Amino acid sequence: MLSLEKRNELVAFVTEHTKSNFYRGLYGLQDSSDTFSVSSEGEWRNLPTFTKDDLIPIQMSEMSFLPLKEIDHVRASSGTSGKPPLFSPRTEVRGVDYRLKYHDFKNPILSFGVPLMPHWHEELQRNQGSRATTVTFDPQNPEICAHLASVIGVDAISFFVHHMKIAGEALKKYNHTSEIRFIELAGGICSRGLYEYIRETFRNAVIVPFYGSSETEDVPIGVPCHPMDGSDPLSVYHPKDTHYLELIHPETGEWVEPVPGAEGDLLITSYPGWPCAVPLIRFRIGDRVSILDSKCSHTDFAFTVLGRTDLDILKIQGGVIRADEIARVLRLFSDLVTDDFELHSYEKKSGHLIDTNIEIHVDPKRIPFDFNQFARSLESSIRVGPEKSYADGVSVGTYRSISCKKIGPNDGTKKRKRIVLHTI
Amino acid sequence: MMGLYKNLFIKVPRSKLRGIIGTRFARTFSQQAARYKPILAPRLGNTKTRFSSLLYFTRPTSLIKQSDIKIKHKYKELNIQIQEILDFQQYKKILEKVQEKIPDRINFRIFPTSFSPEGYEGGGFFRADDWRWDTLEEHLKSSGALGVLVRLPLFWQVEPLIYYACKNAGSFLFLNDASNMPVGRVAIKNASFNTIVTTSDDALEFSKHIQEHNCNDFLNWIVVHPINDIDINRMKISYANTSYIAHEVHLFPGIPLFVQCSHLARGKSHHFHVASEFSLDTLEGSISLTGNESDAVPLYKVSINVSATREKKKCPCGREVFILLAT
Repeated sequence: MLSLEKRNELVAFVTEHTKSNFYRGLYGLQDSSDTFSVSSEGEWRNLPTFTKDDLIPIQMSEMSFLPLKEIDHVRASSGTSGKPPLFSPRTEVRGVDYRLKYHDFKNPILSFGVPLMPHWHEELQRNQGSRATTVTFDPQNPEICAHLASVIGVDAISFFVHHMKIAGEALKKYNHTSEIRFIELAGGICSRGLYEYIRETFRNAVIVPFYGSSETEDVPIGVPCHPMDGSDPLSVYHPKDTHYLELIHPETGEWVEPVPGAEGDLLITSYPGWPCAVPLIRFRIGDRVSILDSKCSHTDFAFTVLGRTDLDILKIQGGVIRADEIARVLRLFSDLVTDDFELHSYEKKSGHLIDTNIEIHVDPKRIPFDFNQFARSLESSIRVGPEKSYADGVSVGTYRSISCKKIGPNDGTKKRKRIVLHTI
Repeated sequence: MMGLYKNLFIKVPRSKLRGIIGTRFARTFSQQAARYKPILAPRLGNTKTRFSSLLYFTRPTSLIKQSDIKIKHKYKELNIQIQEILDFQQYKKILEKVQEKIPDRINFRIFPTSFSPEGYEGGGFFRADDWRWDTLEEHLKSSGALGVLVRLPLFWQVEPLIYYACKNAGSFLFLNDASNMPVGRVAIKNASFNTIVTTSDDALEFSKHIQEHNCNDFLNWIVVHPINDIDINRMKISYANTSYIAHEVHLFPGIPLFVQCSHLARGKSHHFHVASEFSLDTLEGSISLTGNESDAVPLYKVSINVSATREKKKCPCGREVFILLAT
């Protein structure tokens, strides 16, 4: 990760008067000609953090450290939170050499615009001395793209995890699954059920997770520790050399030491080198991560992404329900259900009291299926606190009983929300 | 004069030539005509020649001859009988039939043969992977494009081509799902996007959306029309806040056929040039296309259902100008 010296250079760079005014404003240097410096980890941890919400009101031309003519392309945040999109500029593709451990990229690749744009894949192919050809994946028209991919001889795939089912079915139609040797998955958590589908469908492929975000120019955010093999409930990553990752307490914002078992909201400092449109310093990305007890040879700590703080964690009285916890519990009942789910929370406010009904939509493997009995099993297994299950809350009248029903279909073009809030 | 003759492909009776340029040159021209007859005959057919009825628009004879030979050689390699392909539908069927046999497919970029999923029948058009969308680049440069909103369908396979055009023009792009108009509108407002590349149908809808939301930024429009749906009236529509507008008619998604130079675009004209990758023959009102030998399966005298008339006056850019009629 970036040393303190490198981070200090970065802080001085972003606060130079000739650059974008964002950090000068953030650090209170607006009317001063001074730059900023940090000489200790303590000073570093005192630097203010910021979120996407702080960037949305700023015009991209004001935020960018580069003239707009030097920008390669722009990404927009997904908007799943309902807020206006943030447009984030990109410059060059860097920091993805780790992929060469798993694939040679000599043949065409079937790719969406995420995690890497098709023209970036072509640049990477050229860098390997190969012909540069991609087939762009269109989730609205998967069969046409699968056909083109099969004809041109694609042997690698790179797109959102929630596209895999529709792409898999389309490629099966053209008998082009065994030719795929590399699969790169971005954009969320791959459930056990989906992993098993991918493994079964693409038997010759190595499956490598990709952790990125639209706000972070220097993607990926973490280098995957190893390919997916079904053994980890969540993918494992390590920080990159051009990043500095920190954890803070989600409520207090206090710094959390990244020791095995620690959890917190992730802060990213990233600077891939010049040219760079938006260097990030202590950007609070909105993801909740957990530090793992790593047994690998990588030197930096290992972490896993639990989910989005604002989307995948539901606060209830005296505890929280986390999406990763629901997934864990569903895997305990893998003979009965897959680990696909949606948790719907119906909140009714009455004065200062909030009455919450939880409904978990599950994907049963058997018909008929006793949803009521299964709901009771879930209550006993879902932890809402260190020593507390949801059933404990039901027994003392704090929580209402959970109900279950069958999950609705997903057409595979959009990411499914794991926790859905309804205010009545 | 010899070069002029070669370029024009005029088969003029000796008696007439004598009257125009003198006996000595007439004999020479007639000798040339006799030499080129075996090559010209398939093009000329049995039609009696007249000065104005046959013009080969783009390339000198020697180059045309070489290109034809190369195309025929490719067809032979792929076991395609030239007489199988008389019209565009037959050509598309041939594409579907031979695509698995194309050698070194990795050296090509593949495009779908339909502009919509409903019309897709399974073929792919292969163009050399180093081909670039030069006309788009010209428009981006001429219009001062900065942010380019790409609203063309992803399955058209044009993202890398648009990127290369943007890179050379000093622009940047954003892939905007056409169904997500609000994001496109906010991109114009907040992220310096002043150029839109889209289909003719979407241009109309997105233009309405922009106007309804009082977006007043000046915009450049590059509008792609499919070959099977040329609507001249749609080309005459004024889109929202237009600063510059260029129309192109594509033979396949991402394959320009009728293009505009910056002169025609600035004039908001509905006249077109033929893309340099194609040559056009007109024969008794119908049009046939011959493509470029660098395509994997080039078109060779394929008739297309488009009516076009050639203007007498050339464009200031020096190229022939055509008026298209609706398909």
